[in-house]
Amino acid sequence: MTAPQAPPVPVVVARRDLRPGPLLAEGGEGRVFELPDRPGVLYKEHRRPLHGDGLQRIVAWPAALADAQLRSRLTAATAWPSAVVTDGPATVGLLMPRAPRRFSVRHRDGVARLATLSYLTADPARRSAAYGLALPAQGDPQRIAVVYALARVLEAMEAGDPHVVHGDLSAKNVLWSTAQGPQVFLLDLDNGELHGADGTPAGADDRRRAMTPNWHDPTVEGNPGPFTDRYSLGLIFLRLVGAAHFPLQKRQAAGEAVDVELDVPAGLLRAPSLGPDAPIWGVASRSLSVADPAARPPASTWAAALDDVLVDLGARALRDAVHRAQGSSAPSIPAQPVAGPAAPDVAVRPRAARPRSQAWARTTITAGPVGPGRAAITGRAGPAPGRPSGGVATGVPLGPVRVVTQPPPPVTAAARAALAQAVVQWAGMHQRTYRRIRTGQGGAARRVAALAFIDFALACVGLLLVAMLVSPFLGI
Amino acid sequence: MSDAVGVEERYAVFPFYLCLDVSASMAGAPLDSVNEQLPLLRSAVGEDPAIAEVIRFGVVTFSDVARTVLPLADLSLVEVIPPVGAEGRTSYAAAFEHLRRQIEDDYTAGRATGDKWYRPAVVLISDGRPTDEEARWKAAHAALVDPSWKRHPNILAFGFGQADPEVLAAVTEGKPNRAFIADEGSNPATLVPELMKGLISSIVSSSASVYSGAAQLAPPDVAGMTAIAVDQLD
Repeated sequence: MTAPQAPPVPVVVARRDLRPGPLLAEGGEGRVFELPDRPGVLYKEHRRPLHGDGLQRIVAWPAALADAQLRSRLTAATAWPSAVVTDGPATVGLLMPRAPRRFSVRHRDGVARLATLSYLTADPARRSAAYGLALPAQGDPQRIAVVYALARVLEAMEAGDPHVVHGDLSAKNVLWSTAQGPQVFLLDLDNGELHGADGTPAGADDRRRAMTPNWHDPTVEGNPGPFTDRYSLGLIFLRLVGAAHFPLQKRQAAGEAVDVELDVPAGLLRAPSLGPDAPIWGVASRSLSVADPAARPPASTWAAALDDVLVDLGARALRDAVHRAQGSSAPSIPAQPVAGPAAPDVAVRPRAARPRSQAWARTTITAGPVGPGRAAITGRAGPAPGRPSGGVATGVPLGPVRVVTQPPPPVTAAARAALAQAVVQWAGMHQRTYRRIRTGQGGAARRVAALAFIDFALACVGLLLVAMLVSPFLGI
Repeated sequence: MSDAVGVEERYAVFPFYLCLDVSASMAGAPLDSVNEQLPLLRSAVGEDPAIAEVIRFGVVTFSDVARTVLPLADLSLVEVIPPVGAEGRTSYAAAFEHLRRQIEDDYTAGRATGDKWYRPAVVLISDGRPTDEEARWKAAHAALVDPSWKRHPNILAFGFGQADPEVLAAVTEGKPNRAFIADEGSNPATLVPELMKGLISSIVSSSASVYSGAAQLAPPDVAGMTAIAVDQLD
């Protein structure tokens, strides 16, 4: 323990020293601008001048962390405000890092959008049909590793006294990426609140912020409490790993106990860390408790539990990738033991995953030939019954619409036949060349050279394909 | 203890039907504006997964007859909303009869795939008076808003040009903040884009309200408006 130090002074930048560039985003709180002369840094200008020293304390907080590795997690995985912006005596805004490009996804229209959790909280087949994205399957260890990355960041925020509560861990505030290993990037840290060790808010900030609906803690009205992030972590675990909506809060707000079944791929269910008696389910259950928020496990407990799961599933490389990305490899020490009872009002248990009941397909609607009585149908594949003809365009000029379903491109029989033929040709070329060499016919050297060239090209293509398949797992 | 919550449980969806007058008088600026705005609507709703998954959107046009130009769909799965063209007269009866059938069919199909619905919203845009007999369109309207039909929609109506304020008030059952008339001397070329933008923001706000657990039909931003509480059907 070092000697007590004076509280660190936050970095302050004068508004007149900034050259705001293009407007990036606009919201209820204010506007966010790019700063062309400070790449990677954004300027958030508040609509109303800020009161109190809350923002200053947030900006100064990481510097007070004794452990440099914990600080590194915040730098790597959050948009922690780096400076307060003043105009004379008034605080008018803040500077914060911009989310790196890998925390975005590109839709079919070519536009890159922030990779919010919404992409992961539904059937990946649905997102794939909609946006052409290849997302990890339900229950995939990559999803577990993204939650682990989030727990590690929250663990850093829990360290220190006072500690920081984010207060609104919603889909839009937690960005994710798997491009360079599983990672998260948290937004909206400037709205974080400081809490003392006993849970009481440190520093009077009179802002009332509502949590994002559907990501909120049902025990909280208005300002988030000290145990809010812990509820969020449990909820995010369910929704990300289960790739589903899990709309729990309405039931919980009505005072109902909830019984949650999380689908886990059948093979993983046999793993001790995910089987029915595994401690992770107790952690999840206590996290989501409304009856006893103070018993919700802290992020360090989640991190330790998820570390065990990843190692047990043979996904140590994913865990190590999280450490590498955040610059912090020290294992998590759970402040509360991982093993523990389930909460009285929430049960979370695994279930062998079954195929989803609804399939999703994209529709292309084209103006069809003129004619009455052609039923307009949607392109939903799957068990949905055919649409009754009640939805018929009743005749005349412009013509009813014909809906063409585009199923995902299958490997057609024709393609397979073509491939088989190509293999036969390739084998035939080799046979003929060997025959020429053995019978000493002329031109064998040239044939060998040509064949060698073809084989070399095929090997390069093959290696490239293998590299493309393997590189995400190696985190390259 | 309630039933177990599993991966199959999804948020309820909020269906919106755009019911568009495509009578001859809508040709030119009004429908051109609509066709310009529809791709923006599709993109604003469809390209945001959080909005797209709780909204279903369909387009019905009406003139002498009514037709479904876009079947009710999750806009993230729709490539393009087909453009609309002007046709003949203005049969409100055709519109209401068509909607009465279409909404029920869509509801049945949705339930079969496990969708739960909030009460649907119909957004009627018209530039004229109904050309059919009053008795006929009123009967069709009564069937559409019949309280004993469980799926009866909330109707918003927007009128300009020759649209009749009294007719629109009747269409919206006299409920406050449901019918809107363009100001005197307004230009459809500027009004319709504003209307469509308002519809987009209305859909986006309504999607946010779905997540809050108490869905609301948020009418487009007009001075002095309040959101209307919407009940869940199942």
